[in-house]
Amino acid sequence: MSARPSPTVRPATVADLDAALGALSADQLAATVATLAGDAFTGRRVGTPGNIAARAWLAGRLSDLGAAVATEAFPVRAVPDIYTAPTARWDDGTTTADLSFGRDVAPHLASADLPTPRRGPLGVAGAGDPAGRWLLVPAGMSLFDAYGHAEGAAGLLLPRHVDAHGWQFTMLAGPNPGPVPVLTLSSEIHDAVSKAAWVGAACFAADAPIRRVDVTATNLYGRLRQPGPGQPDVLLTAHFDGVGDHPGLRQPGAADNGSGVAVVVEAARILSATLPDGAGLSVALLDAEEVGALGSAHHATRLAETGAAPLVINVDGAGHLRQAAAVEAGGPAHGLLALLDQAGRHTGVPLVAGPVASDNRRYASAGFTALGIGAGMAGYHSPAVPGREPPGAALRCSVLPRFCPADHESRSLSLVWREVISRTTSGLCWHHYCRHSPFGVGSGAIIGCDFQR
Amino acid sequence: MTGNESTGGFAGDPAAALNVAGSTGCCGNPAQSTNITLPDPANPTGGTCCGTPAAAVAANSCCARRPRPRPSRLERGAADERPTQPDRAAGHRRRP
Repeated sequence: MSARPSPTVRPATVADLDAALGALSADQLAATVATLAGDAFTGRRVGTPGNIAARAWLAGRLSDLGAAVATEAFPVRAVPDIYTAPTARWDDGTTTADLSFGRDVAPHLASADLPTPRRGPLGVAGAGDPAGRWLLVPAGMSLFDAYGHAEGAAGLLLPRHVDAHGWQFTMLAGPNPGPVPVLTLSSEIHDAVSKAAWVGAACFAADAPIRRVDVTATNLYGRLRQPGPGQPDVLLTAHFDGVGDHPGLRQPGAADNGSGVAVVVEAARILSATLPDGAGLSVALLDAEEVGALGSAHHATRLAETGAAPLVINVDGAGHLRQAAAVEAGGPAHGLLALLDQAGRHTGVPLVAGPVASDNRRYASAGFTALGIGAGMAGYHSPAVPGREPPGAALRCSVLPRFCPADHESRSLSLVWREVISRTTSGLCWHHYCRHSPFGVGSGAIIGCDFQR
Repeated sequence: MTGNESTGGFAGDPAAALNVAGSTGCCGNPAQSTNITLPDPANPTGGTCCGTPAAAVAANSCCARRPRPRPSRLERGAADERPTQPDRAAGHRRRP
């Protein structure tokens, strides 16, 4: 699709920046993350009661900001659902070991549903008779090649890396179920089981309680300001859904993407009061990102049909900047990128061109100016949560939206903020500090966060 | 704070963000988050979350490669108008 023209954007003044900085509420940011990650919302997987409750709560937040709130529902098919805690154990003929769900073993998205445990001898895919065996898939062999060796097999066992916390992080977007049960084992467990399989006399027993459910997803929109003719129309987006809890495993989604939602809602609160006359502002809190960015695909299509030309800034992950915030741009975004660069320099937040495979891509594919900013995620798609970071770790955030009408630079506005979240064993504690610009101009978009030890 | 202390922003041309190649993961930002590089969907053997490139395209997944729109004339003009960058000109760049 061809690119859509968008209004130009120009730099702001230090006074604008400082005024906006003073309006920031660290408490609001912290409260939003904590609430979204809370038990009541159960990880916010699309179609679940926790997701619906989270959306209702966010609708209230947007209403409190004075937004005209609307929702838009759409169907989502075949969402993976692990409906009971999986069990798995193996033995080498002398000792038996139970495997830990989420760390040692997890159902693969391509797995067929296996509601009750199945026991069988261990084998290796491509070596020997597969009938009745749990087959270890050697590293380097694709799942699709393994299927060719799995006729009559009890199931397949794939190796999988774990994250820094030892978790096999959850994904919802992926291949459709195949013909046999498929489990992923941590690389360490896979190695141990493989050695036993080659020796012989080793057995494996496991279930794979994973099914697909058709659900209804719902985007949440908030219009705070209508744009004047030819004026910029800023659209701040973040997905509020998560991968969701599994039975026995809380996956709170604080960083992905409670943090992004918190950034967007707080930015909207401040910008709604301080943007220049004529500039438009709206928010889209998107559903079903984790199953393939379907909410933004839906929204981008609707926007294109109406002839809208928003400047989209999407935040996915504002919780764990290791080195620099990744920025991916699409559509006619040169001007917005220049402003973002200024913002980064203004606050000392490094930026790097890198993949942000999130909702921004849907808007960009529709031809809109779209930036995706990903500043990392502590506890990505896993039970690990920021509160489990070592005491003293800190989260530093910077958010800098700034837009102005092309013909009225004196009314330009910028917003810069930087947050520090200090973590203690008792929970999240946010501290706020501002950093004033040494430059004559400051501008940009949303940056990210940084754990500091 | 002085301008000499600024270490943020892009190290190179910001427009490089318009040319991010491929995707190292699926929806979300897993490489940035976990330091685990998931298989690129361009890999014909497919990835952990996205499956094969053909499957990603068929499912209209965000993993699918997308065409990159060309900037409009208006937008190219905006880029040309961007302000000077005093800290960059002075050579003060990256965080150690």
